[in-house]
Formats: sequence, structure tokens, C-alpha cells
Amino acid sequence: MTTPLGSPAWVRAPGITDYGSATNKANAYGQGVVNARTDVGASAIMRMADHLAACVRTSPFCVGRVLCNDSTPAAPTISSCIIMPSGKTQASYEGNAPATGFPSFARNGDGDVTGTWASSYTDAYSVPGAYAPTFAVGGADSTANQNVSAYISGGQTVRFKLWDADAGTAIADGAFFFLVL
Amino acid sequence: MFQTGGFNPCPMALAKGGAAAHSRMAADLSALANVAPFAWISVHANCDTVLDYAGMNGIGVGAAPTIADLATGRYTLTWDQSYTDDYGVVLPVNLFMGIGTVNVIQNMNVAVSVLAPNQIEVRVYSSHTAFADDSPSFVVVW
Repeated sequence: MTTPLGSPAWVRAPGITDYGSATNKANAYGQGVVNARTDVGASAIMRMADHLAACVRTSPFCVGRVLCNDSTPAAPTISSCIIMPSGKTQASYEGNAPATGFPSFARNGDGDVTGTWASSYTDAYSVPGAYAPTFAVGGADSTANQNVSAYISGGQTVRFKLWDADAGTAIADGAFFFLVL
Repeated sequence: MFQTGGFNPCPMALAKGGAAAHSRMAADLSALANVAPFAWISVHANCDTVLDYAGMNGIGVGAAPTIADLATGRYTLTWDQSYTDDYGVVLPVNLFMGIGTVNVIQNMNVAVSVLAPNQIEVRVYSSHTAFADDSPSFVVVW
């Protein structure tokens, strides 16, 4: 069993050596690519590793769509969610009953929900990596003047509030998109 | 595992990782592919022109979706239903969310609504007035 080098992407500590590159990478015996259909040269690996590390530093950890359930107060419905370790949800789920590997969401009030992520996730090789939200943004899924505020209060949670930009009041039963790094 | 050809393992020769390094690359790449945006779009204040575009289907306005100016501060972006990658594989455009902001220092907002898997509607508006045609916008979609 081979254990991958480095840490899972969401730890945000990538290095080119984690991907088999090095600043002095070279082809064995100085022999470059002979056949582009079959060979991968050192310069290609160097570029791939650098690009991959760059993407790992800034890619979102989790994105999704939340539908607030306020008329009959209940946990919000997560209609879609994509998360680094698990991929995309196969179906929508209620925020208080997430599928394994996906965030839970709780209702605080009208248009007001809190998402909670685990403190650790495992990658495709079962290597664990610590996680805590560090950046979050939101946007209304709406054709009206609606805004979303995102607040990281510390720990594993992010609070989102969907509100009417004209009236300055909370919006009930609305939907919004979120992005969490 | 990619094949390195007749000079295998030349690309890995100076790395300490070998299989461990390639495993990390595969796992991280998989994680990134899960969450990568489909496209970033920069739109003119008049809501009728895509100024810049970076998408999985291509870079530059030549790969950008078709923009339609619906009304003041409102526009739609429509992609082809599929695109072809560098290897000739046809892939569907299957959008499910988008987020935007204005590209100017003003008290303006952007709302995105997904109308179809290949179409979104964007609204640029002021918090206390109506739609506005004086603010360029950025939109990112998944």
C-alpha cells in the first residue's frame, strides 16, 4: 500500500515535490521525450505540478445551493452540493440529514441558516486532512433584489443570511448559492 | 498511472515520491475537479458584451456564451449544450449555480439565477433602487 505524499488538497499546503516534481527535475540520462504519444518528459511534469499546486491553494472547498424552509420552519434543503473529498451530491438532502461527507445545515430563522463542516475529511486514499472554513461568499438564486451575507464565526460553521436589498428584511423560503474555501 | 514510455521512469527520476507522488497528484486533481468552476465571465456595464471569459470550454471571448440584454441591468448568458475538450470528447454543459459581483466600487449587487443547464440570468442592481446599466459585472458559474 502506497501512502501519498503531502496532505489532501483542502489542507492548502501543496508543494511541487508532492507531485513528483523538483526544481532540478531532469530527464534520466538527459534524454528528452522521444515519442510524444508515449513519453512524458520532466518539463511537462514540472509544469503540471506547478499548476496543480496553484489550483490547490485557491480552489473552493465546497459549493452548493440552499433552499430555506421558513413557512413551515425546518432545516433547509440542500438541492445541490459539491465538496472536494466527495464530489457532487446525487440528490438533494435535508440539512439535518446530510449524506456522509456533506455539510449539515440548520435553520436559525427566516433566510438565516448555519452550515457545519467536519473538522477532518479523508481523500481518495483514506488520508485524513484537517479542515475549517476560512473564506465564504454567497449569492441569491433569485430574479429579485436579494443579497446574501456570509459569516465565519470560527470553528466549523458558516452562517448565511438571505435578505431583501430593498426592504432590508429577511427573506423567507428563498434560495441562495454558497462558496466556502 | 500514466505511462512514461521507453525511458520510464525518467520523469520521476529526481523525485522522492514515485508512486506516492503520483497518488497525491491524482487525489488532489480529483478534489479540484470536483469543485472547479465551469466558467468566469466579465460583462460590460451595458449588459450586452462579454469582455473576458475563462471557462472549461475555452479561454477568451471566442469561447464565451451568447449574451442577450433583456432590459436595464438584466442579461442572460447561454452556452451551447455541450463542448468538446482537447481530446475530442464531447461533454455536456450542466450548470447548477452561479455567483456574481459588480466590477466597480459602487453599492451595487448581482444576482444569478440558473434558467437551464446551459443558461443563466443575471441581474445587476442597486440595493435601494432598481436595475442599473452602469455597472460591469463578474459572474462565476459551476
